[in-house]
Amino acid sequence: MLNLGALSFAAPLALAALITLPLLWWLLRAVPPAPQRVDFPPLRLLAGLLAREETPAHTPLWLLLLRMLVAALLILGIAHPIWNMANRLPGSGPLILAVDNGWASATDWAAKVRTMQGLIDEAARTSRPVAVLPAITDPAVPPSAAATGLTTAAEAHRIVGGLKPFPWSGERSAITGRLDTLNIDGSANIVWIADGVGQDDDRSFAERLQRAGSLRLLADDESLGPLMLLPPSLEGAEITLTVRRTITDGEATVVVRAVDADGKGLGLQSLTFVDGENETSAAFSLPTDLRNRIARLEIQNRAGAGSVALTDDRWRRRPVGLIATSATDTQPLLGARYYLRKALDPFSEIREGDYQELIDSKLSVLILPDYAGLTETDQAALDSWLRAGGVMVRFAGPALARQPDSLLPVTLRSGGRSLGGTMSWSRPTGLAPFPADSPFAGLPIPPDVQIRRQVLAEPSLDLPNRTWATLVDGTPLVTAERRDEGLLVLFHVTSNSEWSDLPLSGLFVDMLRRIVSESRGVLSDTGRATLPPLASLDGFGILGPPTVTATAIEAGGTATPVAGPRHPPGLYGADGATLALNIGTAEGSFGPITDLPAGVTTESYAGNDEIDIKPWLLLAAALLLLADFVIALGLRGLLRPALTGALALMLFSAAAAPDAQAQTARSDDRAAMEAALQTRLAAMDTGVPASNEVARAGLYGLTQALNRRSATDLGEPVLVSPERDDLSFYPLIYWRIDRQQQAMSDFAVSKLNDFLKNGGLLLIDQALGDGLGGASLAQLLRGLNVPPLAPAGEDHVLTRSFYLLNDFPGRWADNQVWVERDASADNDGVSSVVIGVNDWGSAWATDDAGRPLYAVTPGGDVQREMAYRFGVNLVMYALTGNYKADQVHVPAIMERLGQ
Amino acid sequence: MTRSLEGRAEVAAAGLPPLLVRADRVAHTVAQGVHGRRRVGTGETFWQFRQYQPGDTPASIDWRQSAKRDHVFVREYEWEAAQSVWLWRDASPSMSYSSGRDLPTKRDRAELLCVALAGLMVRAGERVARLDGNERPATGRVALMRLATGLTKQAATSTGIPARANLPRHSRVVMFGDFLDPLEQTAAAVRGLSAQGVDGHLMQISDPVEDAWPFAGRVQFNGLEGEASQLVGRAETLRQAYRERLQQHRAGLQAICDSCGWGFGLHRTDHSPESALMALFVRLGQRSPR
Repeated sequence: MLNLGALSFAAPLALAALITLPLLWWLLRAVPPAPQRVDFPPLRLLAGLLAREETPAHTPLWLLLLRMLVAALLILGIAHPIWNMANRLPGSGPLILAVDNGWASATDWAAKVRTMQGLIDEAARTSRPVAVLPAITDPAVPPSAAATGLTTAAEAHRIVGGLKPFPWSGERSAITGRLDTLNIDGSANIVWIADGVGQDDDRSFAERLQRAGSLRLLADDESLGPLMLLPPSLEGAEITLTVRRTITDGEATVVVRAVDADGKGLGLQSLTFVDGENETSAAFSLPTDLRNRIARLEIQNRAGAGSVALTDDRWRRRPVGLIATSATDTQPLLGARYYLRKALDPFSEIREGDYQELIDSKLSVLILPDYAGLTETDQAALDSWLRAGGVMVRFAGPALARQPDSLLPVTLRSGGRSLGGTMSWSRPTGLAPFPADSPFAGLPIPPDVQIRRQVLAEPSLDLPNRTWATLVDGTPLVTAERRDEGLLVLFHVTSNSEWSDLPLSGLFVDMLRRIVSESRGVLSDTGRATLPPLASLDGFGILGPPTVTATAIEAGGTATPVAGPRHPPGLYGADGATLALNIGTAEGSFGPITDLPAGVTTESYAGNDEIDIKPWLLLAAALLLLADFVIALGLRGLLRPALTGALALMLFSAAAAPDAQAQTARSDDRAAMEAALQTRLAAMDTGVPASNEVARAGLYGLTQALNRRSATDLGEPVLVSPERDDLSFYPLIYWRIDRQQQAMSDFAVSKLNDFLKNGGLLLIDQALGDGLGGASLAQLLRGLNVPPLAPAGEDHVLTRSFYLLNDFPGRWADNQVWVERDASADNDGVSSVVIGVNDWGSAWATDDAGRPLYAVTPGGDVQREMAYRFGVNLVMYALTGNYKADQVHVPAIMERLGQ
Repeated sequence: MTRSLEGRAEVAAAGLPPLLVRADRVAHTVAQGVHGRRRVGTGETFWQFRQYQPGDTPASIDWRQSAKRDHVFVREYEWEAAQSVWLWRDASPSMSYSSGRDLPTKRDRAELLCVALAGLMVRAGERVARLDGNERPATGRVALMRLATGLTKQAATSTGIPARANLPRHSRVVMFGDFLDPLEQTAAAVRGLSAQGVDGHLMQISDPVEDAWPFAGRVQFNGLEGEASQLVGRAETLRQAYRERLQQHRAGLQAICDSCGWGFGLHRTDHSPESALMALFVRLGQRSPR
């Protein structure tokens, strides 16, 4: 070791290499830079000119100096210089680190680790053994011999790197217990990495440590000390926050932050400790709907499980039940429940299902879109649920207008009323301002909300009292009736945009919010015997999957268990019925470490300002070397733009990584834009290149034919894979099944199902005719929602959507084509799948020059033409829906007209 | 199925050497700017009707036309004078050079000009042939194809300007090359051709780097025709001297051409081939001073 003032060298012998620098100087000077080599045709013209120039080439002086600097930096770096080398370990005894790693130690844990590593480095320089004794050992990992005894500095570094705070408090007696097993030579240097929270036996603990050697206590250099956030208490609608601290003197302010389940901040509340007090409380003022979303509260800028309070179902959002009346009414943009779900989602928890199961679970609001099939029993059950305190919201619609039932706040006139339209003088009307006694009072009314149809209430005496909203002409739009404890609300329009623009407006969201806030919150009763761990806090207060040692909590026990290895703080129970276990507790003492024996020195963690210069010197040398490399290339004339680009890429590849991702994202967007801006046909990627090529070429030929023969303007066909691509851009996907194709993943199947459900058309072609048995087709289509099929008869729309056709030949003819038996009205009566075996792809396939690629049998050109006509019909069917279906009825209509 | 028009065009074009396609494009651009030879003369193509004037032979009267009108009309034909044009481009290794990735080699450019010029000539009814080939001058699309194929198939050789003894009088020779050989060689070849009564034009094709000498620092120059490579310590010091040498060489070439009444032109590969071709074509369209 060599000391020059504040600078010390850990490996001074390496400095001897400095004397080789002059030799290096001479060597570098003697070797000139290599010339740039170029081809030059008019070399003949140079003859005679060249002898004139004779200057011997030398490395330029500045380059020489640069290279000398690199060498000097390397040598100095290897000599390992250290600025302000610490010297904290007197004597020659071992270093023993007694580490508090309970929940309170998470504050500034990085500084603690840094301090421990500095001490271990110092021990390494003076070659002492080291022992690391944490108060809590990881209960999931059996302790190893090396981790418990005296060990080398390198091993100690590894142990310290693996230490972490645990989300419960540790017993210091564990440290003394392990200290007893150590075999210590001479007087040890003991450093107590303390967390600042006093325990009962602190004095005896310190005395035990002192018996092994000199004791040094390291504590947080902070006036605040450890903090503990208690679980918030609910008093009525108010949330009261309480924070405890260990010390009592001085004023201090902490800020508590409320966060929702997605980690979004909801609000801040600051609390101030008064001098002399070790506890402070404040009410958290938050709007109701925000308060409902709180998932956790945390002290800002304080890591640790003690600074976090999780909330459970007592703070949850109000559950709202949506009664499913038919399977398809969640269809985007058209379904009855779609807008409701969108509107409720921001402020309430949505459950969907049968009304029976919904009223069995605890709900605050029940919503029933247009439905008229309630039996007497249903009505009675719902009515009794209502009278017990429920809130039920109903929406009108064609069904209710036809057949009003008794579970309504007002009596409805059968039939309803239509405003505007071709046969009416009236025009769609807007909303009148809400009456002052309506729960909606004060909500702004957007001028563009128009009501086109509604159901009408029979006039009665109490109708005005029951009206919450009216149209401009005074007819009720929303009516409500209180039934005992409960509330029954009726919207006189549909819950989708069919009758009015209301569901499209922000007003709809606000109205539903007001209705939900009218309801009483529901306290959930878990009804479970044990609550299994759902998520656990780690030592830093981050919620993750439950630890392996976590075990279930008995429900209904008298006291909530104290956080410990078996029950780490976190959430217990199941989704929808959780219990939060927090560290913060109002019981027990929470004070500083006091009453230490004499001879204990106390220091702060900030004392370590040792600076290791070695990595900086080596980094500088590496950068200069790189610069030298670039300069050398430049001198040789090799620094072409491409090479410069490569170098820059090399240099900044790490920094550019996220950028590259952004670029892929952008190119994804571009692909989506392209797909969206031009309609195009798509072929399913079967993973078999030959088959894909036939399908692609087939769609290419079909696209050409369509663009030539009809008004469609289709782009180049593409290959899509449900695993990879967004299918929603394509009206028709052609799936030419190959026998080597692998079955699809569940993800792909669900995407294809979405595609079919939302109006896509899938043409499944068992191109190999009889080659593929029914069993393996079923295997490929496993999980796919293929509706019941029927042969496409001669009346099917496919036979007349563009051309009039009798059959649908492809490469092979005379095979049946299957379509959905009774195409549902949602998709405009378009069958979602068409299945056949005629290998249309091969019949359509052309090369780029428009020449057909495959022969068709048996019919030749006529059959190919028919195949194209089928393709044109199919695309027309996919694009225009069923409007040609009217033609199917033309004979019947003509007959009725008496022709 | 009917095949699309593009499809058929592509099939038709498949047999064309790419050089010919490019040359066609160049020639087409130039042809729109040139209207040479549109004058009355002996030929087979109808040119115009003109009123009979005293002195016209009665045999030239177009009776059918005259019968329709009051006056007597004479049928005139377009002047046609088929020349044979002999084209040559240097195929020596020094021509296979380009200084940048986006520049064509000198040989590429020479061949492009060669075929484009031939294309213009063929349109004007002239007959073309390669100076170093053994085909007879011919006209039409076939001759053009033959020329293009002959040019592209030839490997790099450094034979210099071929000396041909049997060129017809009043034919034209157009030569593209870098003409970096010693002036005496070029002079001997040009004079040999000129002595046969042949009119001609030399076009020196050079790369921008050859003109500019942009080198600096320590550079090793390698020749392309087997010259010993040369190491230069500070290339920038030679710039002035090199440019003077180049000027001298070009002045020498100009002098050789002037002495035979030939034309001499310069073309750089970074300039557009159309402009060079236009200049060349106009020059060839003029009657030679003789």
